[in-house]
Amino acid sequence: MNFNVEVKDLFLSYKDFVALKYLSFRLEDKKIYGLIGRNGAGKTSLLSLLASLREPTKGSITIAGVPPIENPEIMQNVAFIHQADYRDETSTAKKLLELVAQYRPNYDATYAEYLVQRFNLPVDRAVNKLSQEMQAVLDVIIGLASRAPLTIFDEVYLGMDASARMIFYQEILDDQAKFPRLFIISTHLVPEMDNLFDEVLILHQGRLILKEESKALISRGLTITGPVTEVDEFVQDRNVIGEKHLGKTKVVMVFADNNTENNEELKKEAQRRGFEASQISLQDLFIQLTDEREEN
Amino acid sequence: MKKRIPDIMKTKTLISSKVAADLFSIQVKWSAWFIAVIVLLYVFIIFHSEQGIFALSYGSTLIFMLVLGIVAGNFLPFYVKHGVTRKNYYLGSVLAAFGLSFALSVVFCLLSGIESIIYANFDLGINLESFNSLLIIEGSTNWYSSVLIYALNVYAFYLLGWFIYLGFYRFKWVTGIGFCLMALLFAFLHGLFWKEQLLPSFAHEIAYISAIVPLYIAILETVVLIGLLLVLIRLLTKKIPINVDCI
Repeated sequence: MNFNVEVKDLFLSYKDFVALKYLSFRLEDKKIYGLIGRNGAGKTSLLSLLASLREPTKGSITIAGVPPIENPEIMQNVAFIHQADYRDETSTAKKLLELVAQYRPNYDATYAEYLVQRFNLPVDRAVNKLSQEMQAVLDVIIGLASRAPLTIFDEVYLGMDASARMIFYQEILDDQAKFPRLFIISTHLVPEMDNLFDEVLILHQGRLILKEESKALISRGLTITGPVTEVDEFVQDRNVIGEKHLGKTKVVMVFADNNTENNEELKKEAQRRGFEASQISLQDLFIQLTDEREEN
Repeated sequence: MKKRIPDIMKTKTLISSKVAADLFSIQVKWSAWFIAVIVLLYVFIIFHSEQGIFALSYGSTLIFMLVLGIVAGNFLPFYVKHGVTRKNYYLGSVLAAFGLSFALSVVFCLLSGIESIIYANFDLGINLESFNSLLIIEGSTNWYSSVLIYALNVYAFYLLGWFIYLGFYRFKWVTGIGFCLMALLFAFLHGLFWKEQLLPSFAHEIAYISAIVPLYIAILETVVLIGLLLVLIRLLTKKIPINVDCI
């Protein structure tokens, strides 16, 4: 079965608040997608629809060609992992893993055991007595060991320290190579994750403003630094998405309108004129793109 | 070469039966504490009653099941989050609570058997002529109808608890209060068929179940109430949204 995700005109509102505004996109099986958006952009709303936690107000979702909600074959193969509220969870981590394992057809207990060792999770302790970081680790282990064909991580790693996060990223890449599956990883902390994503979706104020291969996306952006008037003249016909003044120097970020345009030429030309020109990071691109939209 | 994910259809075991087994075992553990408390209360406080533990436990079991229904309703978000459909959760939960109701009824019936053996062999000052450990229905002494009636009634109270939980989970607290009132109304109407159903307690004079109407009509009423609650709960959970902040 192919776990492609197809979303059409997806609209979600909670009473008088509109969370998602007519999203349409397609995700391909066995790829890693980054879902980037600021807090409140609608990331969790979108992901909870994909995980069948609620129904959309309008529009449709299909996973593997069928609507996922209340479909046991689909739902057991979609894992939604987020920072769970474990205040009342008195079972041990080990028991909780065993419980979850029953409902995940691809769950791999050996892999879970390996991850427990790798992250040093004290499995015999009650879950509500674990530190916040260890609770996040537990969530991550559930998500990875379930090996669900569609695995969603919704900012679960926020409670983890840098080294644990690095292990997490490494495990995603390693396990993805062994058992390819569709990952959707939502974040607003882009810098350390941009190597992880095959494609990036940027969500802003309930709208999908961009969906593109992450390498192609980064190559569309360019930062040009130089004297104010000269830089202004150089970029006047370009799509400027952000600028900063540093005395008489100006830093301008340009973004090619479509991905066929070649930024390499522009970069060379800028360097020839004595400007400093470098590729924009995904983080900068994200900040500028979402900033600009807000002003509009 | 990359390996494909193992066939996703490899397990065809009924998910709802797994949910039922899970929920049954969790709730049986909680019930064990309840049974222990009742036995202790009985041994140390109400030992010299004319009623046995079976009849005396009944009122407390009703309240226990009502509370359990409210508490166990909270498993729904957990299961849906872990890929169980609302329907399978519902079926599993309905089954687990049904099993639990009978288990409690049978356990207290067995305890009353032990109680009878003790009374028959040791003189504890109990008037055996007026004592009937299984008498919870006026005029009836057979144990199986007692077990059935006990189980059905405590099951109905479990469902009332679940119904109240859903009122609060799905709607605002004001609506939740409305659900409480509705549950109270159900309990009141139920009490018109079963005397003293509304205020069950350990109190000596109201511990008997006694059908005001002919017994079969009272049983039929309980079955109808159970059926109605099952339908309402299914409708309420059918497409219930799961709030991510609470799971």
